[in-house]
Amino acid sequence: MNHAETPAIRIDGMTVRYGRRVAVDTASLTVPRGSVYALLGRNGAGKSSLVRCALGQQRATSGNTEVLGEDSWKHRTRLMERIGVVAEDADAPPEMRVQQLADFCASLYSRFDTKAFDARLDRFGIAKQTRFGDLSKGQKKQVSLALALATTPELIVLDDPTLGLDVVARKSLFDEVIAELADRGTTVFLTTHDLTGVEHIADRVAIMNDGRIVLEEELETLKARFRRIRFAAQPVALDAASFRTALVRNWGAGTEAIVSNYDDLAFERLRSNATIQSADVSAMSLEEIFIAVAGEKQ
Amino acid sequence: MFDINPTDAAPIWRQIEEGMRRMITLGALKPGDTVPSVRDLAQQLRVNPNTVARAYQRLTEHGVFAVRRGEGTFVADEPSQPKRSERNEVLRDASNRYASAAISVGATIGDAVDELNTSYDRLVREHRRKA
Amino acid sequence: MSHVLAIARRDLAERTSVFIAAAVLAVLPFVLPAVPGVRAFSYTDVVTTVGAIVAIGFTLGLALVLGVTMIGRDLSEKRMSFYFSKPLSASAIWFGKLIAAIVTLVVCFVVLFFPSYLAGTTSWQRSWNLELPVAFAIVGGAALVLLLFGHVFGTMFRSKSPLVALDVALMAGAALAIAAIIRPLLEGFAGDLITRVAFTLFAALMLILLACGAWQLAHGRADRRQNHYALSRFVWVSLAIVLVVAGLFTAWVVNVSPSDLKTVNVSQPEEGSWSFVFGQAKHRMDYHALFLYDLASGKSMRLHGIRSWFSSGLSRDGRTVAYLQLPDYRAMEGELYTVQPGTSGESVDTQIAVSRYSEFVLSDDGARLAVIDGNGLLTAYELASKKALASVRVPNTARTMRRLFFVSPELLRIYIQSPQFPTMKVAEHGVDIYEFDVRARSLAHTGQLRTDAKHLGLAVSADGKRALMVADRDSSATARIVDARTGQLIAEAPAEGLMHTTLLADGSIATLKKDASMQWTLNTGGKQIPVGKSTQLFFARELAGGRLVLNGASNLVVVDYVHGAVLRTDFDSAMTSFSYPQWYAADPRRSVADASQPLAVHQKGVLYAMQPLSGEKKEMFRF
Repeated sequence: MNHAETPAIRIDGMTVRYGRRVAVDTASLTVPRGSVYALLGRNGAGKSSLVRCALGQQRATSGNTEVLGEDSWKHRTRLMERIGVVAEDADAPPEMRVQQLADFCASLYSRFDTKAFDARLDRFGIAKQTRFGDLSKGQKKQVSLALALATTPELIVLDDPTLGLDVVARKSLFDEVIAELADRGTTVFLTTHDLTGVEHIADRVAIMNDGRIVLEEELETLKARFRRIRFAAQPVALDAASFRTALVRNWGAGTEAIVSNYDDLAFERLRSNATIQSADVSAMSLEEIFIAVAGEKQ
Repeated sequence: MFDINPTDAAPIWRQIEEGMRRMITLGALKPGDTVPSVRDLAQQLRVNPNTVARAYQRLTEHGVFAVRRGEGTFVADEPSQPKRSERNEVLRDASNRYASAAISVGATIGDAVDELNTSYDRLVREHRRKA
Repeated sequence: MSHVLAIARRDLAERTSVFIAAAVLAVLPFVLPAVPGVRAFSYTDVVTTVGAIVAIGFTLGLALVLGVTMIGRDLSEKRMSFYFSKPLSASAIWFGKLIAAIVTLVVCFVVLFFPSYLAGTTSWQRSWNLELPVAFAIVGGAALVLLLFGHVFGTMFRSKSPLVALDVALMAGAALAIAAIIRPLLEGFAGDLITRVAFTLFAALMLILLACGAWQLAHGRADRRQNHYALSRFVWVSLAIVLVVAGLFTAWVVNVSPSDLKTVNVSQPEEGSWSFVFGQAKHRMDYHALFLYDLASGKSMRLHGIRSWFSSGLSRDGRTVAYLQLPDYRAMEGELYTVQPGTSGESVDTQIAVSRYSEFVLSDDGARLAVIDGNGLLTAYELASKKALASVRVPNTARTMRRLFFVSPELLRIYIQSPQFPTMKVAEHGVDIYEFDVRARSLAHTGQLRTDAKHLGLAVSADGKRALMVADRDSSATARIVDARTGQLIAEAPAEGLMHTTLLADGSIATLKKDASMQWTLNTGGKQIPVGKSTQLFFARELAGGRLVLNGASNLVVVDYVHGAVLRTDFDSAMTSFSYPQWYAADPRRSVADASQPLAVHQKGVLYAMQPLSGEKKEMFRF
């Protein structure tokens, strides 16, 4: 199979149920090779269930999941040779010292790069004799990342990597990811609810809400189509310009609308046809788009 | 150098492209100068190296950068300016955003032009000083 | 394999504190004797005893803890993804952790056990009385059971899933199924087979539990509940398969016909053609089965839970069999069943509980039954209504042998013969005779007989009037014909011992005598009839018309004692057992068989029904 043709991850109609609760509801997504893919969702949206199933750690109730061209449930053992994982709760046994962890992993992977691991650990400033359980949350993630990257993976999966990390720890984590991307072009799949730093590096995003993938596209096209329009007075009918609104709400005396298929020409036409006293169109950050899509629904 | 504004409507690769052009125009980067490597710039700006690579590729295609095999990427000897139509498009795009912002805060056209002049001067001055 | 070892190494690296604890505890037996109060005992005894107890206790406790935690803790603390995000197969994880646990247990046991053992080897062997390898096998087996059960229970209960209720129900179901599999074998007195089956079931269970973790992790992976589901599915499905196979095996074992027997004992009552066929079944180790077998038709009927024909009785009319069914071969008490062979009727539970040391007889028409238990409590029952008619305690029944029969449906005669036959103890021997009137519920002591013989034998004539008492002393035997009711002496003659004296239908006696050259002579009514050469010869049965069947190890002689002629001699045929047990049955009455009734004889692994007069043989079955 040609590597360039098989996506790094292809999830097709994945459903995960816990008893009656549906955690993931017919989710489908495709992570192209070489991309930095961010799966966004609030806590409890189903991201971790999706990731665990994608990694073959848990069996989805239904649906197909292929990672690097292989069924991730059936061929998990073989696949893990090619995937680096930083789990939601960095999850090494607390009694193990960092050095023991490295030795353990080195015995499992044919391509374990001890030098790269040591170098990263030096950059993070973590002593190798520290027990894993004695590390701070940020350090645990850093060690996990260093271990994951040392296996020279084709795909790295980061499940909520910045959860509970301070600004400095987050920065150093992303620095390592960016360096890895620059050096090896590894595909990155990450989930998060915290968009700081993600927007700079993601080139494809999906938003998950209540177990469903509500949106999946290139970050650039996503940002191009979302705009916030604020009207000082009551709004004109935006649907006259066939604008779809993701959200409309009062904004002071006026109204704020978030449009998900904005384009300049259509808005100019609307502006010339209607008497719009004052309308402010502003671009939105990914975080704002995320909040508009996933945040304010009841 | 320049900063990336993620909330900007312009995609990051375009912001990088504009930033590099600005630096050349203002003389912060001179013809024949080595361009920062994709890795370095990506780390400095904390952006995806692919995005930097994409901006560099466009700049190379437009003759702003030149790639010399085995040596790296340089500013071209005669970096081409953007075509008039292209430039006008960029300007229109940016001025739309600026005008919209000005209207929304109730500024007059005079205030807006004054502010634009000030910003232009400041950016030129800053780059000159860095250079 | 290297991954298994990597996991095992990792687990072991975490257990340093356990090994240190074991090492510290290993010192305890050597320090304890210094404690005041313990000093009184021998130093080495204290060291070895305490050492062994600490080693075994620590090892078994640790086995349980390791079982519960080795997978369960990582699962419930959501740390299993650490392993699953690495190129480690489920089997590598399970067997790695299992090996680490076993190594931990072995090392701890060795560290704890050997210092104290070596300090007092002889003392250890004296106080434990076990071969070392046997002791290790027991401790090792127990530790493995605790480890695996700990794992299974840990996984089931830690998942906090309501499914655990189903698990508990299935556990109970499995226990019942195992009981249902073993029980029919207990009824077949198959001690060796049961041991084998139980061991096989245990081994199968251990294999299931050894494999369950690998399956569980392969299908449940990092999820606690799915681990539980996978484990339950695997354990219960594979256990069900094992139990179904075992159940089919038991069904096959139990489903025996007379031709499945490899050793055959036939006990043939004089009444009718139904015999008891008892033997060990082929390919079934020591599984035994007992049948009612019709020599005339070849029909058979299985009697379950009955040890041998000793625990059965046939009514005089030959129609009803009563037998004691024991729930298993070690049971001391069972219930009496009746069955009418040759009819389509099944065995009937009389609901009369009877101890193994009781005697019971049927009335001649099979309508009533009398039981005398070990304490001499005699009860008469009516079978149709399952009602007790009357009860009485017969005195002086301790250490005795009881004989009884229905003189009439309303009258029981009881012989209390002491001592129990046979015994070597010289004591006062004799027979007390009682009669019990069922309707009047009155017990009368009607007579007694005293003798100084060690062995006593009693036979009563078919009409119940005369009795033969054979008193066997060390050097000689005496036969006495007495009144069967009062014990009054009618005649006395020297005899040839219990086995060679019999009471004939006409009330006279016959004896068999062997000379130095193995030539046998039958003496009766003053006649001496030579019957030929044989190493051994007994009275088998009397046939109507004044004929006797004599039986040796491999020969059979039919004698017309009225005319003093040997009718036929078969040299290769032998009756499989000599007659309906004339000296053992609860009913002491002799009876006379119809001369047309076939005899059960065997020859080279074939059971034949032989006509005693014509010698015509019909093959019944091979064994």
